[in-house]
Amino acid sequence: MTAKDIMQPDFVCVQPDMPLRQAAELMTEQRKLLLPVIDAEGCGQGVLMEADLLRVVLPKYLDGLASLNFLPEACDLFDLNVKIPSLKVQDVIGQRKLYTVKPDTKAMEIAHVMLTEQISSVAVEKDGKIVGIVTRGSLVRHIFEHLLCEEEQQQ
Amino acid sequence: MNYPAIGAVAIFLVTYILLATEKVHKTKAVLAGAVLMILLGIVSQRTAFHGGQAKYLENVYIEGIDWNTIMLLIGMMIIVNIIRTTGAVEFLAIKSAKAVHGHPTLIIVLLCVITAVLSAFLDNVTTVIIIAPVAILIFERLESDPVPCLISVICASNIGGTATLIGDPPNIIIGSAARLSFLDFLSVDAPVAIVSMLALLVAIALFLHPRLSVSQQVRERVMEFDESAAITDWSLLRRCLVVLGITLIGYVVHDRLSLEPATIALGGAALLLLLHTDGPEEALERVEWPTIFFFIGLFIMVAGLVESGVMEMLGQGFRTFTGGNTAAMTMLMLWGSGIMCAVVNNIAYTTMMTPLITTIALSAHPAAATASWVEIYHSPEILPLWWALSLGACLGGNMTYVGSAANVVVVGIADGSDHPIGFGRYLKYGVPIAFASLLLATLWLWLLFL
Repeated sequence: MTAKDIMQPDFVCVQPDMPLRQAAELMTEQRKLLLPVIDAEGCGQGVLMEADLLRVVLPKYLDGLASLNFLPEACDLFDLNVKIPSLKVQDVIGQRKLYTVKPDTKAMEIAHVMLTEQISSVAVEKDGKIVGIVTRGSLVRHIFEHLLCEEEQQQ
Repeated sequence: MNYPAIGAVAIFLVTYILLATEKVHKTKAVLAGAVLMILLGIVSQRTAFHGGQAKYLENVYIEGIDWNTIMLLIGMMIIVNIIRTTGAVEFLAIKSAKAVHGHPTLIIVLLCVITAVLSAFLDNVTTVIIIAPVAILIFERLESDPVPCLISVICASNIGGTATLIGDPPNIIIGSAARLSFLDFLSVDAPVAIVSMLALLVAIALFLHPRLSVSQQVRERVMEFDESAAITDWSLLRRCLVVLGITLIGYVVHDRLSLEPATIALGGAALLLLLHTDGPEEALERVEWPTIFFFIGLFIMVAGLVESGVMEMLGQGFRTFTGGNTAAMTMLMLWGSGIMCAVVNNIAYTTMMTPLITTIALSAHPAAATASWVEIYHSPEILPLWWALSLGACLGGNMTYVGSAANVVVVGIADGSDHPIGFGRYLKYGVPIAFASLLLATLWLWLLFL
C-alpha cells in the first residue's frame, strides 16, 4: 500500500494571494486543522494552520509571558478590524513547510512521518506538483481496513 | 610570530568576521573555530577541556573551558526558567502600573526599578522578555507610544545587571577569572549601578515626563488589568521565593564558605527542581544551550590565543601603550571596553580580556614565580583593571541597540509589535546614558583606587 492508493486527489487548498478572511472561512467550513497552500502552477508553498490564524490575534512577543489571564475582558488591543481585511494567506503562513511524499511512498513511512513530525496530513508530490493529500484519518482507515480484510481472509 | 600564533590569530579573525557579519550563527562560528584550534594543535585537548600549565610560557595557567561560568549560567537559567512560569514578573509590572493609577512617567520609573533589581539578581534577558511585552500592553492601553518606556527598560536592565556578580555574563566571567566574590561586586560595582540608575530616573523625569500626557479617563483603563490573575501557581511561587532567598544568602556567604558561586547556583537549581512537582525536562530544555555552547567555544579559542603567546603580545602592547601606568591602564580599559561593547558582543569581548589582564598581572609583578595568587591578581596595580573591565563591558552595552543580549531581545519584541525602536532613535537615549554611567564609573574608580 503506497501513497497513491490512499491519497485523495480532490482536496481543499488555498492560494497564497487568497484573502485571509476567506481562507479562515474555508478552514472552519471544512473543519480542517490545516490547509495546503498551493500556487497557480500547482506547486506547494507551505501550509496554513489554525495556529497561523491565532497568531494574527496574538503576536509572538507575548509568548514569553506565563499567562495572559491578567488582560481585561474587553480587550481589543490589536486593531483587528483594521488589520485583518488587508491580510492575505502569504502574509501569515509560518516557516512550517508542506510535508510531501512521493506517490510510491509506503504507508508505514507516511505513518512514521506523521508521528515523528506531529502532522496530520502530507501532500503527495509528483514532478514538482501536488497531486493529492493523505490525511491521518484516511491513512488510519486504509491501514485498519487492510488489516481487517487480511484477518477475514485468513478466517 | 611563530606558526601557532599566526594560526590562532587567523582562526580568531575569521571567526570574528563570521560572528560580526552574522553570516553564520555565533555559536556555530565559535565552535568551529574552537575545534580547529584543537585540531591544529594550537591548544591541546587537555588544556582546552580541563585547563593546564601553558607549554611555552612560564607561570601561566590556562583556564580552558571555565566551568564555573558555565555551571553558574546553567544553574541560574534553570532557576529563572521555573520562576518565569509562575507569572510573578507580570504580577509585579501590572501591580506597579496600577499602584500609580496609570501615570505614564511613574509607570516607566517603576518598571525601570523592577527591571534593574530583577536583572541584578536573576537574568537580564529573561527579565526584559517579560517586562517589555507587559510594557507594550500597558502603553497600548494608555494609547501612548511604548518606545520611550522600552528604551528606558533596556538601560535599566543593563545598569541593574552591572551591580552584581550574577547580573550580567561579563561579571560572571570576571568574577570567576579574578576570584572576586559576590560581596566584592556589591561593594564596587553596585554603587555605580545605583547612582547610574538614579541618573536614568532623573533623565526620565526631565526629558520624558513633559512629553507623556495621558488624560485621567484613559489612565483609569490600566486599572482593568487583573494582576492577581497573572500568577499561574501560588504554591510554586512560594517555593520559588524560598529557594531564591536561600540562593541569594548563599551568594552573600559563598566566599566565606569557600564555595564557588557556581556551586550556589547549581544548589539552588537542584533544590528548586526537587521542590517542583513537574519533571526537570522543561526547565532543562529551556536552558539557552546556544549561549552555553557559545561560551564553551569562546573559552577554547581564547585558550588557543594564550597558549600560542598571542595574549602575551597583546598584554605587552597594552602595557607599552599606557606606559604601564595603572591610572592610564584603568581608564583605557574602562572606556575602551565601554566603546568596544557598544558594537561587539560583550561576552566574547570579556572572555578575551580576562586572560589579557592575567598576563599583564604576571608580567607586571616583580616576583611572579614566588608570589601568591592574590598578591599577583589583586595587587593595587591590577585590581582596578578588573573593575574597569566589568563596568566598561556592562555599562557600554547601553550605547547602541546591539550592545547587549537584552537590547537585541527588546528590539526584536518591539519589531514584532507595531512599535519598532529604530537604530537612530535608540542612540539618542543610549549614548548619553552610557556616557553618563561611564563617567560615574570613572569617578568612582578614581576615588577607590587611583
